Amino acid sequence: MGDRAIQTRGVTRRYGSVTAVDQVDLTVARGEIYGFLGRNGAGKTTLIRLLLGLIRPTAGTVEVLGRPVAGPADRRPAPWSRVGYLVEDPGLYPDLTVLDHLRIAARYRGLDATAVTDILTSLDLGRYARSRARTLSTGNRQRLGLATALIHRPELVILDEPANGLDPAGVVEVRDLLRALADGGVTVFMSSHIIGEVSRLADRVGVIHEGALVAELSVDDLRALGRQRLVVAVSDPEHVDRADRALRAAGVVAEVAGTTLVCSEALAVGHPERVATLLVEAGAPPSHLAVEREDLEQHFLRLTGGEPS
Amino acid sequence: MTGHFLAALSAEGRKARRSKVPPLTFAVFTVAAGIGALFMFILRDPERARRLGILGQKAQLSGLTADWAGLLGFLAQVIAVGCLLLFAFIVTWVFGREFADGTARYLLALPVSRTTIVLAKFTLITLWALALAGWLIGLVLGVGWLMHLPGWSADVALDGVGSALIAALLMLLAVAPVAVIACLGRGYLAPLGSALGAMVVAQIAAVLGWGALVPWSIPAVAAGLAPDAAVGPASLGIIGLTGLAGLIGTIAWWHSADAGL
Repeated sequence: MGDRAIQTRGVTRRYGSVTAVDQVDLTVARGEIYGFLGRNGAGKTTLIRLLLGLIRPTAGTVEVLGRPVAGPADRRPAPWSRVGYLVEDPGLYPDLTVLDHLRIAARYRGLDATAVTDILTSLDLGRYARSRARTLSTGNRQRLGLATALIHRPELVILDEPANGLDPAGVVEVRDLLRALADGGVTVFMSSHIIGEVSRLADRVGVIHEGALVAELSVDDLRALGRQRLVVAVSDPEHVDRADRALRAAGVVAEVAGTTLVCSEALAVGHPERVATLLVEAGAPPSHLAVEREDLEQHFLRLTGGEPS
Repeated sequence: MTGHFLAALSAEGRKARRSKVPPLTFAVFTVAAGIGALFMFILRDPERARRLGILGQKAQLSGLTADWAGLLGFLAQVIAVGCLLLFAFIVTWVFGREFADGTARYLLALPVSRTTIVLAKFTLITLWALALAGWLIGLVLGVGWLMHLPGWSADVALDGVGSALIAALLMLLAVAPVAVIACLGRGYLAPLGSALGAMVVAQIAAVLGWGALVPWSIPAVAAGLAPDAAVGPASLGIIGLTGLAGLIGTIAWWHSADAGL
């Protein structure tokens, strides 16, 4: 079966002339928490639907728990009986109670009443057991959606915005729950717009932009994001090359984006005044020079060029 | 497969039990039986019918008589016309609500064959429709018994009840395509509109004398509402194919259901 919970190869999904997911190669190891970030319309939900076999890829392959995902109509128990999912809003029947929803989920999965009791307890839904879904708050609706996703103790959970609508205490609860699941060997694949949550919880983070997976960050990368770096901007675009050459000559490698140069090396971060002098002497005086600390949010914004969603 | 089917049927039953829609459908047929009782009450005494004015006049115009044959004729009318709308409403609710409530996505992702889910829904619809027909027949028989209507005989009763049951079963087949329209339209509006359209087509077909060849008027013919027409093998073939098309079309849609849900 292998050590991969999810593997996609060149997976692409087009809707007419629009490419929603573009040649995504993704591997998620078993037991890993994989966070998935992207702006609105970046392709997060489409990719999750592809992983769940709800839509068929235009090109490429998807494998879940070692089984190829055939397409929408193939709902054979393997691998789906071992996968829990929450896609966008939890689909709830307004007239049914919390208990009804969980009993239905349990019945479909061939589980007994113990599973219902256990999940009610672990998601703190006991006091709402007899409440109809239409009376639940957004947070409790989300909690119920999570409960139906987790009732059968899946090996892999695929969650689209699991913290949506939860209050701060609920967010912490869900984080602890997902961490406990991962500690128990469950693979968690989650998309979220709460970048802080993802960085706190995930072992790896993927960033999707305009359908393509533009970056993958490991735990080490995430930690490195917290390190200081020197950010230099020059006002004249023609000075960028000159500044870059001067820095390289001094043994400092900079990452160039537009008229901004970012240096992570201690030589530059520890001596910003020397870098300033160097650039002035090279004829590329900086318009901005500061030691900054980039977090995942800033990194995400830099990669996607906009506001996170 | 059996386990999944029973799970799906149980889920469908639970959704229906928790909703106000099933009691509403039974209430509609209860009112219909009440109207039948009122007609019989008026028709039994023509003097009182005249005193009641317009209502009495309409009751006279119904062409019914105040006896068991008249009451069972009223039953046939309710089944032939009322069931078209009511059964179509049930089909619309069972399938259309999954889109209106945003739950179709959840069903489509279950580790259960989509055919099983569709079959469970159609089974619930069949049981519900038969229970409704049984409820109406029981109420109408009760009305006749309480009013001590003349003209009772086992043959008259069996003939009237048998025709009503056959008409109800045929109507169940005739409304099956409404499920496909509910799925294609992803909600309530399109299937309800199509049911109204089917009723209009049925009326036109009856006027033109094609009642035995149009799926939505065949039940009325079977209930004896068109004296110059009869249900033959062609009628049964047409309505059978209509039911089959509804079932297969719905299963095909669920199998191809993809994006946008």
